[in-house]
Amino acid sequence: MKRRDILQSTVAGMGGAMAPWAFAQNVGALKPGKPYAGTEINLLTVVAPQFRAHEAKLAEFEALTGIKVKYQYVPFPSTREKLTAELVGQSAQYDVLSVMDVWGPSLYNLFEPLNGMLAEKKMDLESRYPYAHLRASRDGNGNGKNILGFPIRGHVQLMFYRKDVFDRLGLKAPNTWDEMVEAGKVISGKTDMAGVAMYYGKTAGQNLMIWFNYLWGMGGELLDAKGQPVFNSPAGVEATQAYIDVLLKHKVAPAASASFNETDAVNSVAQGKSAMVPVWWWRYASLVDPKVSTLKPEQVAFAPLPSMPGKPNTTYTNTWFYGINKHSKKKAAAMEFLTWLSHPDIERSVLLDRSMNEVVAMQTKNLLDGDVNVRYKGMHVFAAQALKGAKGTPLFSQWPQVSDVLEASISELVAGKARVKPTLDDAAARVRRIMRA
Amino acid sequence: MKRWPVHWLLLAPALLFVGAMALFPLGYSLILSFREWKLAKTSVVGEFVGLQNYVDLLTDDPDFFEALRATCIFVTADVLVTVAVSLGAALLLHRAGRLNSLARTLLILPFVMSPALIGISFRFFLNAEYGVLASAVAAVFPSMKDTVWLADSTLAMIAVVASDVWHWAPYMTLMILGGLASIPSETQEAARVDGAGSWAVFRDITWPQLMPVVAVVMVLKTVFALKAFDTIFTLTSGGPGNATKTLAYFVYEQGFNYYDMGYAAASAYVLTAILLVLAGFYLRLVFGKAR
Amino acid sequence: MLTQSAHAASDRALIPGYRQPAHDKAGDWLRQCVVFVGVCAIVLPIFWITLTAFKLPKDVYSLSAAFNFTVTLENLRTVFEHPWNLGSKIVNSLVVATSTVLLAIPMATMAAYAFSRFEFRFKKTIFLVVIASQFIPAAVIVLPYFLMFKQLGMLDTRSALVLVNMSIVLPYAVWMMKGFIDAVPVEIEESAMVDGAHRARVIWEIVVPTALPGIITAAVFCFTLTWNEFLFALIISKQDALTLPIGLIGFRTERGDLWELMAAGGILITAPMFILSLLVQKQFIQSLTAGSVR
Repeated sequence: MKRRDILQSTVAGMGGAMAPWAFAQNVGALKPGKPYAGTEINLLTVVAPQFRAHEAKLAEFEALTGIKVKYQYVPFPSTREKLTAELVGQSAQYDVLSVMDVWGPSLYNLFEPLNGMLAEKKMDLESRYPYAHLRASRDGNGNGKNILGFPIRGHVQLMFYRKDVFDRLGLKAPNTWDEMVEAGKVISGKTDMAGVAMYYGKTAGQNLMIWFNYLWGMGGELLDAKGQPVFNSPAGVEATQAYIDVLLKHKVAPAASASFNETDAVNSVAQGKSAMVPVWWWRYASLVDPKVSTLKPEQVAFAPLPSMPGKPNTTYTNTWFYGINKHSKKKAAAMEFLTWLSHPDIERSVLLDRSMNEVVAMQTKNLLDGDVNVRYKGMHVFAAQALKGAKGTPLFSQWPQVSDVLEASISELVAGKARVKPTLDDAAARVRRIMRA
Repeated sequence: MKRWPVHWLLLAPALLFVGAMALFPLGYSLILSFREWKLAKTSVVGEFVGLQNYVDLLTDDPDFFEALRATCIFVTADVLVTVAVSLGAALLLHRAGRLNSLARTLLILPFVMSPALIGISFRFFLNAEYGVLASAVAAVFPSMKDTVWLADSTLAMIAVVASDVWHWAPYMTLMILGGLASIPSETQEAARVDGAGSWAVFRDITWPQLMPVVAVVMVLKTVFALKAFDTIFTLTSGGPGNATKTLAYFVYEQGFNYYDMGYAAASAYVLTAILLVLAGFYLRLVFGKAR
Repeated sequence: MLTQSAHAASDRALIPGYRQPAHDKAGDWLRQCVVFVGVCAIVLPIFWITLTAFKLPKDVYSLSAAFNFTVTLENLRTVFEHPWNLGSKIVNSLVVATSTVLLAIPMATMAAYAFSRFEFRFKKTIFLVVIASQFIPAAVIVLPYFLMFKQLGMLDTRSALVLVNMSIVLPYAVWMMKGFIDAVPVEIEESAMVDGAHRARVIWEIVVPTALPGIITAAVFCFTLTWNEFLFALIISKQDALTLPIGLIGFRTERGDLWELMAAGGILITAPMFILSLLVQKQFIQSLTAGSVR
């Protein structure tokens, strides 16, 4: 109790706007007495508003523990090369590393299992994070017993749409993919905008993000229990056909969608050329920032991602976690940092920061927080609901190759010259070969 | 010109340096191509598998042959267009005139720009919604109003070749201009006084002396075209489908996306073998001329 | 290398195919048109990129705002701030590229001279091996280099980058310069040596000045290769040795490619290189009109 008071007054004395450290059982405590003072740890991460906000708070952490954390930003498309070098070189250039979920299964050898340290601090991650996000930081393709990191940046998908256009045309936010197409037809008929900006271009697997919702929504699967491809089943073919028909048959997506990546599609809405876009929730900032978008906040609304008729709303997910380098010589200090950083109040303060529009929240407590939902008009409650039923990303070490085959197939299909079944069958043959290895 | 080995003294710094710096990495990667090493499974080099990687590559990998095909198309188009453009431009610019001297000053610009910036810029230029180049083409050819450049295999390949030509051809023009400048003009004058036409002068006098420079340009461009990566990575990511995925891209993917280091090394050495064959032809040409 | 001279009369002497009958005016005009198109092809993309550097993101993605936008200097300011920090990256790039060229060119000149003037066993093989060291795609070589520098404790140092870039540019420099030295007539050297001059003096006082355009060409080439080299710099550096290409690729974020920042960074990077090459061109012209090349 006395320790808590001292720390509390220290933080208050620093003028920190943070809530005092809750020494509740599951958020963990920093070790008293600054045992690692003077240590410097290096963090490999990418530039994102959330991480910049974290970096701005590092002075508080250093005051609390004496540990200096250096954020080493790496270009987003180059993160994997750096991680590969760390894995191969076993060099501990970085003590904490950020990893995207789908890369995890290839990189298990890079990370130190945290179970011991978590138990020591009596931290219970399962109660704090939604299952769909936490599985990304487990080994064993998401089912293993070792936890390799703290989920730090996790996304759900939403359907963003032009509220003013919908109101004007008397449309409601679509609940199913068919409704989305219908709304799209009305919009492209009565305005010069396209209905919905899709993104079928080949860029880092982005054209699969919505496709998965179609596939799973129609009862299809990527692989069966034996790890063999089944996405070319009748359900998979139907799902893929429906997915590309948004452009090819119904023509409610702009023609340029065939080569769009995610950013292009969001920009299409931001420039007033399309009325809807199904995309990650963090794109909200791009749609309302006056420097980036021609839209005003009142014009932008969102709804949960459409689903198949009768099925609950779901989402695909994308999760990044911060893990500790197995070869680092400063693991304990790194653990202190991660304990501090993962405190729900830090996440909450970023969410409520009015100078940004950062919506990303990982922890269930914050997803259900009243203030957050008031600020973002219920987005986070939608997210919590969608995450309950979310399957999460495929987690197995051959996924990068499988993803490449699939995204190449999709981008080929939207050129309009190939047919769905033969293309998917060819893809399945390649995936069979990949899964053999 | 036989002398006592002063030539070794002259060669020594460069040779020793290249030997010392390059020996370990080249040797390591060659050995790696004979071993199996999948980073996902183990972070230490795996076991010796002999030629298995090469066999798998050449007999069991449809992606490899697609990449080979894309590479052939890309390199042939790239080299031919670059050489043609730079030769033509050099002949045009090898004259006095204000416009010509302005043009000569600008030739260095595209080369010093970063290939990644060029790739990204061209991608933006060709964007079907707001790309300035796509709109300009559509204005001239109304039938192309709705074409999505980067979603069509042929157009995407054209885009990739065009961006690489834009990057290199001006510099190659400079090289050929240099070659033209060192051709003494007296022979040409003499021939003209004797009544020879421009084409004959070019064919019989200019071209034989220019050929070595053009040969250098051709081989240099081939090497860089075969290794070209940044532009393709940023312009099309190898798409649409696998239409613009060249061997260089394939090698990168195997190593850094699929973490199959042994296989990546093997495919890299296949690419090297192709280059060695081409280089062999070139050497015969260059060293064949008696000095 | 550039055939510019002050006098119109000697201009004509340099022009191949020179003849100016009246009916060739049409050909002239056609030629000028083609040159004009070529100049546009080079200038217009660069102009557009420069324009982009002064646009807000929302104007970048809009065709209607192509010329009708609010000019902003914010991009130029942002690229020097955290976390982009182009300033320190420019310094690193300058140091690495300059050092590489200063160290590599002399070595390459000597080696090229040896290949050009001498016959010896295995000459072709050695030449091929030197050049072939650059046939391997960088993706496969970069990790062994990483391991090597880790052993030497040189990770994240500029010296490591200089060493790597030297090994990249040496083969090309040797190759290019051999061609230029080949074009220098051997008779001058031979007569100088008959007169008793030491070979080193011959190289320094006769061959180098004569082949200077070639040396400068090779130097510019090597400088540019090093300036734009990305993969090795990415893997070997962490914070102290970060170079410009890493800065440029850093503008490819989760939000997509921040073209306005890349353009701002791009013109800041290209402009000094362009100015440098203009200065270098003046060097060319002087050495040419000094009459040493004929």
